[in-house]
Amino acid sequence: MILYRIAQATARGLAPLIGRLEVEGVGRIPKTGPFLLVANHQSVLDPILIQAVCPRPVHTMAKSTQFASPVFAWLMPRLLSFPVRRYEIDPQAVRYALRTLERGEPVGIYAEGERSWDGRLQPPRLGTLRLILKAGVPVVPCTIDGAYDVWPRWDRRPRRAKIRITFGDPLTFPKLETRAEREAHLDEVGRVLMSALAEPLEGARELPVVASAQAIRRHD
Amino acid sequence: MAIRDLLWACPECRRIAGIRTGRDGERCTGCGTRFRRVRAAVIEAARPDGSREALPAATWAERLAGIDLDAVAKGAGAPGSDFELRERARARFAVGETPVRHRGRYLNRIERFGPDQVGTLELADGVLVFHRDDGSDVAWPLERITAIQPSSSTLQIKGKGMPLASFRFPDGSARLWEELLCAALRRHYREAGRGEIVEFQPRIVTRP
Repeated sequence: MILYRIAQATARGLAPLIGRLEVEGVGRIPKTGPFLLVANHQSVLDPILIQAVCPRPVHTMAKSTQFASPVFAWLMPRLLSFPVRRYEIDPQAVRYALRTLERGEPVGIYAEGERSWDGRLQPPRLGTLRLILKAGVPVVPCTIDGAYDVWPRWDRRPRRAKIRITFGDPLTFPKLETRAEREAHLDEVGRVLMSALAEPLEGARELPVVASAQAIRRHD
Repeated sequence: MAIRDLLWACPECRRIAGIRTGRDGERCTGCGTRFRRVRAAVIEAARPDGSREALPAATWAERLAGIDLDAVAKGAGAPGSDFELRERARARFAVGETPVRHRGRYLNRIERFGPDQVGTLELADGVLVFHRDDGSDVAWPLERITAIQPSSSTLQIKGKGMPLASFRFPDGSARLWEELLCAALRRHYREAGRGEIVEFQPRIVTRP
C-alpha cells in the first residue's frame, strides 16, 4: 500500500505535465464498503489517472500480458492490479474480484474491456455486466474524457490536452444468484451503465449497442 | 503503434493497408497522401496537390466504415487495392504459465512467451496460417479459433488446444488483421449455421 500511495502522489504531481485535469463527483464515491468502479477506457493513462484521483485505493483488473516482464510482475500487484486472461474464460479473475469486494474494498474494471481505437464508447463486455450482477454492490460509473486526446492507442507518445474525469452517482443493480437470471438482465444493465458513462462525454456521443444477451451460445 | 493501426485503409483512396511508415512519416502508397498527428487526437492529411485537412481521428476512422472487409477476407480483394491477405509478422507463442502472488495471495496465472519467430501471416480460405521463414507452418482453421484479442499493437489468437499466439506486424496494421479475421469468422459462422458472432473475447459468443 505504501508503493500505491507513492505512485498516487507521483501521478498527482505529474498530471499537470499532460494537461489540465478536471475531476468531478469525488463526493459520490462511497466512503466505506465495497463498490465496483466501472470506467470507459480511452488511454493507457486511465488506470494511473483513476488511481491518482480516487480517494480510496482501487484494485484494478489488468490484462495478463501486462504482467509478462519481471519488473511489471513485481510492480503491478503492489499497485493493486490483478491479472485477467482476456482470451479465455478466467474464473480466477472473477473470484479475486468478488473476494476483494467481500472484504469491503473497491474493484475497478473497464466496461469495454480494452482501449477504444477511435475514442468513442464501445459496447460493454458481457463479462463486465455479469460481474456487476454477481457482485450486487454499488457501481460507480467513471467517465474519462480527453485521455484519448493525450495518448490515443495508435500513437507512441502523449501530447498535452484537457482531461475530465467524472464519477457518477452510484448505480444499484440486484445481486442475482442464478446464471439464467443474470443472462436475462444483461441488456438492461448494459443500457443503464453505458448511459451513465456516456452522459458526461462532450457532444452527447451516440450510445453503443449492447451486444448481448438473448439466446447466446458460447464456442470454446 | 501508428496511424496505420487506426486507419487500416487510406480514408482518401480507400486502399487497404495503403498507409505505410517511411522515412518521411506515414504515407499512403496508393494516393500519396501523408498522415500525421497535429494536436490532441487530430490527424492531418496532406494531399499530393498541396491541400490539407485536419480532422479528429474518429472522423477519419468513420470513413472506413463502408469498406467491405468481408469481401476482402473472402479473397475477392477491394477496388483499388492489391492487398493479398498476407503480411510479414513476428510471432510469439505462449510456452507456459507463471503464477502471480502478492504477499502470499494467489492472484492468477500469466502466460510466458517463447522467442520471436519471423514469418508471414496469411488468411487463406477458411484457415489462418503463419509461414515461418524456416519453412514450417502453423495453421488455425477458423472453426478452431476460440478468441481474438488485440493487445497494444499486437494481435493475439487463441485456438482450441493451441497456445496463445501473439503477432506483431512491423509494417502492417494489427487492427486491419483483427478486423479481417473478425470478418472471416463472422462469415464462417454464418455459413456454417452457427449464428451471428456478438463477442470475440474472452471467447466467441454467438446468437442465432
